[in-house]
Amino acid sequence: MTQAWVLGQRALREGWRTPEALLPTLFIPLFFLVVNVGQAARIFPSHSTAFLHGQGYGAFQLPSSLLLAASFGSAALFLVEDIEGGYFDKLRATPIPRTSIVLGRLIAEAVKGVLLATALVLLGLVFGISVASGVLGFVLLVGLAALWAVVFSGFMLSIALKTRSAAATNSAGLIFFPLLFLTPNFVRSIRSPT
Amino acid sequence: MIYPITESTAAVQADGLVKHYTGKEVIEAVRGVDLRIEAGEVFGFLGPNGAGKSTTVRMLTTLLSITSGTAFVAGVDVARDPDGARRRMGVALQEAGLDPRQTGRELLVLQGRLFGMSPSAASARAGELLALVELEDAADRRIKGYSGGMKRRLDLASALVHEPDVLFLDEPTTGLDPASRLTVWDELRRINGRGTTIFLTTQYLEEADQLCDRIAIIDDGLIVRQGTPAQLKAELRERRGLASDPSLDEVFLDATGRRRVAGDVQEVSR
Repeated sequence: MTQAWVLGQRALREGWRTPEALLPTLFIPLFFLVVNVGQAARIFPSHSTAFLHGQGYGAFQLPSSLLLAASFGSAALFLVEDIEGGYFDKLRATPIPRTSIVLGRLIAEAVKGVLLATALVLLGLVFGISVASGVLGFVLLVGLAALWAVVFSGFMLSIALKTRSAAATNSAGLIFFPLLFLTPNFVRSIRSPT
Repeated sequence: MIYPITESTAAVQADGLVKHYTGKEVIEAVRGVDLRIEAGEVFGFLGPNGAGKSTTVRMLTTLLSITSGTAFVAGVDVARDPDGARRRMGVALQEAGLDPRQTGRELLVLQGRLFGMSPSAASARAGELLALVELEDAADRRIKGYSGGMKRRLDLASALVHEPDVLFLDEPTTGLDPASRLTVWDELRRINGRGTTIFLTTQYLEEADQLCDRIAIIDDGLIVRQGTPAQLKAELRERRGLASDPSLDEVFLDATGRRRVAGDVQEVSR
């Protein structure tokens, strides 16, 4: 586990030193949040929309943005870079469990997930969204977002290891969008009466 | 497990090493390589492109599975105890495999930590190695700004973090300018002078002639010549009845069935 943590620290340094990969992870979900709220907030006014429980439409959209942020991790592409640049072999030539190489990246994604989710929720608070379940709800929300970041990064890392191709790994990430569109992310699903 | 190197233990020993790649058709990349390299030697492994050099090195360094045969590094079976073997060998492969976003010092400290050193021990070792390869001034700069020669020297240093018995170098000077090449040669002599066995592949015959105690030439997955450079030259001189020793280039061309035509080396069908 020590080796995984050491490699996780390296992956965090890598993320910090590559703002061009990190910043879109924050800005793209924010962009979707603003666009979706701008498009649909008037259709669902908070005072007459039951599923909003008195909150603005932004509160309903925030979880989608959190999931989007958590699914935009760059771990898999950095892994492909390691493979193509030969550093992956350097790591494989050390006496560490092979799983540590992947675990290190997942640890870093979890940390980044916590930071990004916290930033998004705090921005939401600034714009009037409140977390009705309080601090515990906030922690749970951030924790679940980070957990999703780990799960989705794990999927992406497996594609990267299998294909060793940046193009294939990038394409695999697009699976997030059909998954998103399968969810009731614009309006709460209503069961039609039978 | 630590295995003591005794007089009877070769630094590297391979017997009947075979590698087949299976796909639409079976490719026999290495077809039965036997090697014995004694502790303290600088051993050169030469061959044309695609002859099986890198495949052999990758099998010996645990990066590639062995189809059949056995390989021991510092007395450790690389197939049965790969982690034990990795602790006894340092590896620097073709095209220095480094992380461009880290600094030279961070890379060496990380490497030390992966070999089980404490943070302070890894940091101290990184400092020693940076001095050894004369990169102290660039130690805290990111690697992406290093020149090709600096990257090679850092790659060498990272392979030495855990004080290995055997150092594997796959084309350590390919792509370097002559001055950087000479610097790397000096580093290798210094490292070998400290008792580290060096196994290197190279495409530069002059490099093999200058650095290596013994060489082996591999072609089409089989070793076709093996001995000291002087022995190989003397053998060709006697066989061809030459007045003086041929160059190692001529030994190489003779061994691999290639011939020089208007400055290029061309293959001769056999």
